[in-house]
Order: sequence, then C-alpha cells, then structure tokens
Amino acid sequence: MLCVGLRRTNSVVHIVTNLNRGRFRRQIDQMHRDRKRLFVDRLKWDVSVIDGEFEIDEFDTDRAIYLIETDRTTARHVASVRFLPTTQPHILSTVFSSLCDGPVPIGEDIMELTRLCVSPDLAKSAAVSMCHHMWIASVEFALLFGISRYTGVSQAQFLSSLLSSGWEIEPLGLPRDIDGQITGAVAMPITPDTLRRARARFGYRYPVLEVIPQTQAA
Amino acid sequence: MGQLRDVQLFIRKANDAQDLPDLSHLLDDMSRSLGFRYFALGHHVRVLSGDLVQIANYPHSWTERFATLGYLSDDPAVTACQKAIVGFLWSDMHRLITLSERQKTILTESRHAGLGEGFTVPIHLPGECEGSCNFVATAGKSVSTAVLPVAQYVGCFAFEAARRLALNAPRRIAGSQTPGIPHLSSRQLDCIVLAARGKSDTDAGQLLGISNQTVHQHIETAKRRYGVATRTQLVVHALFDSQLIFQDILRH
Repeated sequence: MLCVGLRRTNSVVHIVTNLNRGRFRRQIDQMHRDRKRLFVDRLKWDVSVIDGEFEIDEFDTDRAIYLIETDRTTARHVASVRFLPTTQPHILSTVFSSLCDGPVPIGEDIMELTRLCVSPDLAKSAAVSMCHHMWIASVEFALLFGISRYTGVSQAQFLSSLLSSGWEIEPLGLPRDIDGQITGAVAMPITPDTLRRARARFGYRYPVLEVIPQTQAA
Repeated sequence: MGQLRDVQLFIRKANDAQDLPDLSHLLDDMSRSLGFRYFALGHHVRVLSGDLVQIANYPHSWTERFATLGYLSDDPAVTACQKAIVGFLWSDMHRLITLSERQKTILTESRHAGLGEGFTVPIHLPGECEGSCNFVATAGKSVSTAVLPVAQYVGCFAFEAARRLALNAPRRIAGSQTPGIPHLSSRQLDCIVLAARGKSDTDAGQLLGISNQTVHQHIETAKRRYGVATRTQLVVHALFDSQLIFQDILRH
C-alpha cells in the first residue's frame, strides 16, 4: 500500500483505503472523534453521532478513501479529508442534490471531497498549515490517481479561501440558506496548474507528498 | 439557471481580465444588471501598497470626501465586515454592529451623495489584509433579495480576480531590470499633471480645451499602460520614471 509523507514537517499524510485501514484503526477512531468535536460541537452541523463521541455517517464505508495526517511523534490524527466515488451515492447526489442546477457530476474520474477536518486541539496557526497540507495533498492525490475534478458542498464564507489557495471553482448552482448557513455546490477541476498555484500560494517548492513503493510500505 | 449562467459568464470574463480597469468595467456592468448602480472592491487599508487593491465607481465627490475626511476607518460597512462571514445588506448592519454617531453621519452623507441600499461581501483570507466587495443601489431604490446569492458569488470571484491582477501587475524595483518605461503621449502627461495638481476632469478639460470625458480617457489609458488602478499610483509611477518632475506639479 502507498504511504505518503510530508517533507520537513513533523507530520505525515497517509492514504487510507479499505485495503490498509486495519493499520490505522486508532487514527480512524481519532478522526471520527475530532470530526464530532469540529462539525457537531463547534460548527453545529446536524449530522449523526455514534456513541456520543464519533461523527460517522452512512458514507463512511469501505468505498471512502481518507487522507489522514498524523503527528510523527505521537502518531495521533491531526487532520483528514474524505473522498467518495461519485459513481456511488454520495452527499451531493443524495442530501444536497437540490444545490445543483443541472445534473450532479458523476464519473470514474470525479470524486467528492468532504469532511475536511483539522484537530480542534491544534493552535490556530498550526491548524492553518494543516489545512494547507490537506489542500496540497488533495491536489497531489488527484493527480496521482487520475482524478480530473472534485465536487463538494461548501459554505459561502470559505469560497474566498478556496479561490486564493489556487483552486479553480465552478459553481454548480447558486448558494442557499441551509440551517442558517449560506451553502453552495461546487466543482473543482484539477490540473498540474492547480498544483503549481497551490504550491506557490503556500510556499512549497517541492512535492509535499512522498510516495513509498508498495513493497516498502507493506 | 439564468442566474447561474450569469455568474459563470462573469467568472470566465473576470478570469480573462487583463488589468484592473477591465475588471472595473465587468463589475460596473454586473452591478447594474443586478439592480445596483455602484460597486467598490478592495482591501481595507488607507494607503495602498504592494499587492493591495481598491477599485470603485462611486461618485467622484463621495470618493474625495471619503478620503479627505478619513472615513475608511469608521466606515460602518468595514466595521461590520469584522463581524460578518457572508454578505449583508446595509439596512441590516445594525444587527451586526452598534452604529456610532460618526458612522450614522457617514451613512447619511453617503445617501446625500446618491448611495442607497448596499450589499457588502466580506473577504477574510487567513494571513492577509481584510477586504470586501460592495454593491450599492441608487438612493431610494430597493434591492431584490433574489440577486443576493449572485452578488455573494460575484463578489468573491471578483475579489480573487483583483488579487491575481494586483499580484501580476508590472512593478519596477530600483536597480532591477526595468521592462522599459511605458510610452505616454504629451496630452496624457498634461492630464496627469493637472490631476496631480488636484484638478477635476472638468477643470482639466476646460484648461486643455477638451471634454472631461476625453481627460478621463487619457488618464485611464495611461493607468492601463502602467498597469495601475488609481490616479495616485499613476502619478507616483510617472514621477519615479521622470516622465514628470515635481516642478510640474508644485510651484507652477
């Protein structure tokens, strides 16, 4: 399996799929705990909570792929993001399909990007750089795995940050008020230029992902 | 679907904009088609520097009064931006902030200058100076809430386009390789000198025997050649390149 690391930082990003998730049980638990603290406790999202402490929904299945960033010293979850294949039911095609004016984009080369989470334990400056790592890691993941665009649902206040990070954003519909949050569906095409802009914006001159060959990672 | 297409079209044009005056034209058109009359987009700073940007089509009289009296730091929309994460109507501003007497004065004066209901899209970027994109209707005219989602998106995409243009604008640093000084015609230089002396387009036009619109056009062309957004930048660049000298402007 692939193992992906960030150079010159004290953290490492792993690609976690149904093939290797056995090795990341502890980090996956921590991710669901951090997601509960961030999305439910802090952002007041109306999403399901299991056993009072894990935010897990019907899309956290074998088909989901996660990028999980862990601290090198403690091996603890510090940030994560979830990708869902659009060829299967996902958030935009079910919960938020009304946010798309036209058909929901579906394809082998399109994935839905959801649940970008940074641990609430981190100081703000560290949280911001974890976000940068996650953005760059997501773009590199797309380029490595032949994904031509991400789709997703974004609250309007994050749009400017996304744009300034070098993402190309295509609105799939106009934003609407959902539970008091102005929310819109967007598509984000990924090209080598997306990566160039994101690196330039955050000051990374070299790839932040280090791909270890399968045989060594096993 | 029509509204989304308008937004998509705006995004494409904004991405293709070659300079800030281009973007200003797009925002001017978009504001009007949404039922507004004016726009103002920019970073919330008194003095522009580096990659910061401010563009607007407010009435000249208001822009000058606003700058002269240093209203920016008390601008209620700017203050409300600090409390807002998404766009807000000026008529709802009291829900975000308690207006000071000076802020009430600014609002009243802005109405006298012809500015009515406004919609402000705050732009918060981590580690960067705060900014906003504002759409303003003519005083006395109402704004349809149906256009606000469009304005929200247009504001965000326009701000990003402005950031990109400001970052890429040609800049000369003393001692570095200069890409050559832009050519300015003698008529353009006349107009810049008069603007630097504080003359309005109308006054300058009378002195030069041309219309105020022609003066405006000369200055816009010169700004475009320098890749700058404001008259002040234009004057500074022209002085720096010795296309003008201080004696042109002072002690005349």
